[in-house]
Amino acid sequence: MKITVKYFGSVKDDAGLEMEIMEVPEGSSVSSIISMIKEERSGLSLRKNPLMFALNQNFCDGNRVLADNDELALFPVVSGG
Amino acid sequence: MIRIQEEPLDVEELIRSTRNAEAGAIVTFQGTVRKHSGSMEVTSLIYESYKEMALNAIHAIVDEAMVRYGVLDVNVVHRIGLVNIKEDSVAISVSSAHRREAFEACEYIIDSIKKKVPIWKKDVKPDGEAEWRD
Repeated sequence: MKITVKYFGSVKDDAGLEMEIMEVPEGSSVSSIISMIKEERSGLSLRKNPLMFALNQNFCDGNRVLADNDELALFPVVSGG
Repeated sequence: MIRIQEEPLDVEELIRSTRNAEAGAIVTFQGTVRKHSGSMEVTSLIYESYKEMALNAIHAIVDEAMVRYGVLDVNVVHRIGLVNIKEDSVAISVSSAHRREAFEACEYIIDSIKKKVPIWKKDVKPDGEAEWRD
């Protein structure tokens, strides 16, 4: 299935892109996709921060299973205000 | 009114839209850019957002605040892009029958925005270099 991955803040700089379409196995969880991305992109260093993520614009658990056309966003701890 | 925008914030407009005939109080908070980030001097900040999610998150915080504190109207505008020192990065205006609820709701909203809304900032140093504030 195909999913969209979006990157924001320092994670975007680490990933070297703003967004990509990924082909992932059916039944993939958020955590398994993040591991996949980290393996593919050695530049995606997440040393400074816990990585935050959202599925279809909502915070979610790492165990959440994705569906076709879902949007996964990866970003550092928020710092608005 | 809940907005994320690049243009400078119009706080007068924000307060105008918060006015309510039932209100005995309006509390307005402005977050402004200061010239130091820790011990480092900065000339401006650059804000970035995950806009669709950020708007939804602010709506959810405002809905929660309205129920929790029973306030009348709430308006929130957050700026993105380059914001110079002394300018507003965020403004929140809350009206309520009595002042206490408006103060409390306003504090709850800014605290929640800082914790839950996907917006990030970069410090711009005097030499022009910009660094994410992580």
